[in-house]
Amino acid sequence: MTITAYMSNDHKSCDDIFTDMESAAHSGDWERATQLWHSFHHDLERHLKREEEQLFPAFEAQNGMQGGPTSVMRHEHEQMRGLMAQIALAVTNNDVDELLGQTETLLILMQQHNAKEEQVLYPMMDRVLGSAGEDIISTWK
Amino acid sequence: MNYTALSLQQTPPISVPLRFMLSAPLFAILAAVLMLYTGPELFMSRWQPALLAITHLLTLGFLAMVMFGAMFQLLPVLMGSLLPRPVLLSSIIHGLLSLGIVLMAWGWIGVLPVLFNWASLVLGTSFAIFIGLMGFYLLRSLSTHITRYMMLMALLALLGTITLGLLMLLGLGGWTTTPVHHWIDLHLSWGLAGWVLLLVMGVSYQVIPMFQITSEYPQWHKRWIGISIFTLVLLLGLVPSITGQLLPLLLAALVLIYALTTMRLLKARRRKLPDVTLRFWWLAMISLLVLSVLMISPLPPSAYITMTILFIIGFAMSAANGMLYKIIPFLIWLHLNTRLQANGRWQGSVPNMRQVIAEHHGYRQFLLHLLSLLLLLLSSAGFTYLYYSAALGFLLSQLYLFWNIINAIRLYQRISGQNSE
Repeated sequence: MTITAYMSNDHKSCDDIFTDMESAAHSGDWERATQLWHSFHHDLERHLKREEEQLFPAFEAQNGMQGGPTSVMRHEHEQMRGLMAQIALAVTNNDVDELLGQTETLLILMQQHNAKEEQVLYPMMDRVLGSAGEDIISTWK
Repeated sequence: MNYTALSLQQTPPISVPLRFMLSAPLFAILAAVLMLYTGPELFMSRWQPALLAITHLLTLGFLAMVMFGAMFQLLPVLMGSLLPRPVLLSSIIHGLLSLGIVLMAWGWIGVLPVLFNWASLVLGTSFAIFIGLMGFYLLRSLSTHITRYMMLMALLALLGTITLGLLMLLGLGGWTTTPVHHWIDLHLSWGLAGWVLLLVMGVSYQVIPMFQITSEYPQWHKRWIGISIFTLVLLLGLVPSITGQLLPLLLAALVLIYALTTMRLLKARRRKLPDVTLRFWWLAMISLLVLSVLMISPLPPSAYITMTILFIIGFAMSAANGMLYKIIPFLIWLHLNTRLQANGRWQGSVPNMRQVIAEHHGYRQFLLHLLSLLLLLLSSAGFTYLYYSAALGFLLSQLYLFWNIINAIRLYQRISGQNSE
């Protein structure tokens, strides 16, 4: 499986948990929202780590470059983590207004980030890394 | 391929998109004031100078402003294209565009033909720089997303629209004498069905699945609908003799397919939260759906103005207005956040998107927009006694939009001022 296919699919699966979490909080079901929040946080963090610790270094090594697109992606990961810390707080406090304001922001940040990865960066990684990329993915299954 | 040339961020300074987006409601406010000043005879004939002035205040003053701002923002972010000197270039393009719109509107209202010559010079320069710049960077972009090709087609249609527009302006200014009736129809179809429709479609292919979490538009749709509309619009220009019945019928069918597909996606969206942008998208698509039916219905020529209102205010302005409520709060959050991070500080004092523009303010403005659209449609369709309430409603809606944007910018200035201390 290509990096593009695997990672895009992972984005979608995170999106689904994310929207369910928003809906649960909106309808006041905090037990379910908390549960979904934990599973979203876990999945997204795993996704980010896989990029930062495995895919990006492999790509940078092949490319002999740092400070290009991957550094922008890492920077946006940090921005996402900042928002996730705010959301975690809102979930703990059962604060629906704060939560939805933060999730709206995370949603836009995450989606424009994903679009850049899916449309530009992942296809580029597939070309540069070839089968080495698929080897990395096969260790995750 | 040179990967170091690719930048995935390169978001331009916030003043670049915001100067365009803040100007948009100002020109619409001017249009509304002009509606109130002119009175109900505005809708008596499509050739009235005041109506031409109002139409261009909306298409250039509102729509082109939002679209230019959005393209300055979206191109670097989504297409991986770096734009050089964004502040300088956007200032020139924005300044000339604003001046040109005012000159042109003034030419019609004040019956001062000489202004049309100045307007065509100023607008021509602004559009030439914009089209050249965007075209060059779209062609160089690495993106293979359909939005890139839709934007290229939209830009070509814009080039045709503007060329014809400038020639007609020079005609009004007394420089050229040409039979222009066929040109007016072409100017309209290239401008509305070419530039506006194709650009909104191209952007919606990106942002509806992204932000509303819907499925993607079907592959066949993305591949064929846009290019077919572009071809039809082109044919209208090259082979005027076949315009008869067939082309409008085909065009209506394509528009209908786009509207229905989008509505199907919106209905099955996975993000179920109410959202003001979503409401604007629904209104835009319902307007387009009704329009496609009207296009093939036997209607008197007087229905022409009603259909134009449906397209410009119902479809295009709704879509643009809705997008503003996503783009502006996000950009303000993004720039404040980046600024804090650059100072090595953790966030916390950065307002989230709903604190930048509260959801209920967007929603109330949506209701005013919807109400004024309905009143305008009715008043153009013969319910003349509704005219002043329609124009007033439109004025209030645009004032509210301006107020929402200016408050968001003030918040940005206040917080970025605090952080630089």
